[in-house]
Amino acid sequence: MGALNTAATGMLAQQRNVEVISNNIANLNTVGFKRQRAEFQDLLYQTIERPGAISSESGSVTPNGVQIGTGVRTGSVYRIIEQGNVNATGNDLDLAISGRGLFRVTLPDGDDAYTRAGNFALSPTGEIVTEDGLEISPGITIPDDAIDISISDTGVVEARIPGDDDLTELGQLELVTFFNESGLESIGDNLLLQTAASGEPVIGTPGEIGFGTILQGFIETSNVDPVQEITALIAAQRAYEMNARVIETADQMMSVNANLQS
Amino acid sequence: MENAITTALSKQLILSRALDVAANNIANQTTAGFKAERSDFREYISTIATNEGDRDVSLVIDPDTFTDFSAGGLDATNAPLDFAIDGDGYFGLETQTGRQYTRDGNFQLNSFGELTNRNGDLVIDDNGGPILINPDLGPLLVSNDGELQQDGTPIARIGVFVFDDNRSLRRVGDNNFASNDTPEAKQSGRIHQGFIETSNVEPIRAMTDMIEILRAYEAAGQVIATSSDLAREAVQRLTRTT
Repeated sequence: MGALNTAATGMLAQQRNVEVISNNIANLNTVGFKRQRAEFQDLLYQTIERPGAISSESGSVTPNGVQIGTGVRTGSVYRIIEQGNVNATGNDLDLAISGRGLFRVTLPDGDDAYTRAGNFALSPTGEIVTEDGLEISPGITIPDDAIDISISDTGVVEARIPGDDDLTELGQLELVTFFNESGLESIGDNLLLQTAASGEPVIGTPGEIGFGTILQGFIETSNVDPVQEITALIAAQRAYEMNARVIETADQMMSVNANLQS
Repeated sequence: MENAITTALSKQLILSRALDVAANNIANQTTAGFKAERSDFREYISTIATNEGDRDVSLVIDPDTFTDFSAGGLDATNAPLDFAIDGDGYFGLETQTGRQYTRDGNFQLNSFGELTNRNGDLVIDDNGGPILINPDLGPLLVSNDGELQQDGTPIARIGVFVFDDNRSLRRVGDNNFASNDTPEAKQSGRIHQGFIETSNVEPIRAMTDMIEILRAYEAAGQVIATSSDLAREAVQRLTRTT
């Protein structure tokens, strides 16, 4: 009875599905979060009789053969890179990217990580940092007497210094794109890492061809659609139950034979 | 008497295989582009007992399994590299083991900018070549007839391959089919971007199939139990001495 194992792979797949969906729902309000989706693939087939096998002495052939599948596995869990909504916050250092691109930040070990979460703040020494205190790269320092930080849609950071009529340019924000953005690796804290699948980072400034623009005073919300996730959750739960019923049925069938009296 | 047991047993063997098929369908009810498998039974007339006056014994043998090639539903993912074919035909893939075909249009870009499926097999255009996409040239759009465009410029036409006879397709796992026939690349149906074709397994039907299988199996078990009861009773009665 291969049905037992087949149904077990089905339950495992649905369990993974529920895990992905619940992570999406949990991150409904996470800034810059991109929803994920699990995709499944069928497993190998046991070929018991090949299509086209000879089925009689006169040479007739079976048109279909017998192929029996052995279940399902999770093929991939991929991120759907779709623009989230932008919400106005009025905070000078909340930056949303409209279009393609990621902010680059420097991890404590010196490596680069990438994020869409643009809810930045200032460090005690005036650098623009993420919520977790990771400095954006290239780093931009805001003098402590600066008032009125202004960031243009092309990423030019300017501030008004008291006693100076003109805005002082403090730096230029850069964005990074990847050939295969879905291939980036999530490490939590809204951060992504480069992998062999993502390709090399392409660095540019906001507003260049292929890069999005910066919206100051906005944050990008997650692109999770709660209604879609809840319906997906219901479907996954039912599918799980159906696989459990297959196990029950296989068990009942085996008990028919086990209870035969000799 | 033994014939009844053999006949019932042959049915049970086949039913357990039919359950394997139903289990695979149920396990793959959320697999993109999956096509349900169905089983059919055949009757086999045994000619082993050929003495004059013997009656032929009818057994059940191997079910044929065949694929239900009907279309699944369309599920909106809004991912720019998800495609679904509304109509006949398959996407073509260049795999390690040769050309394969699939209805699962959940594609990605590899680090060279080539369109691949999630296992890294190249998705081919209508001439059999790879499809190169440079994301820096702007968003990718696809017309209904499968022409990929960026910034209004056509870059390739996604290959849709149609077989004369779908029955030449055999399942190789990973949502793919292989075939010895050469399909024809043609514009067939419409290509939808941001959609994935869902599995065409109807869960309700699969569940009722399963209940039928179980009941038939129990009935065959009953035949075996009854025949063995009869045999036991015959032994008891015929050996009674008083």
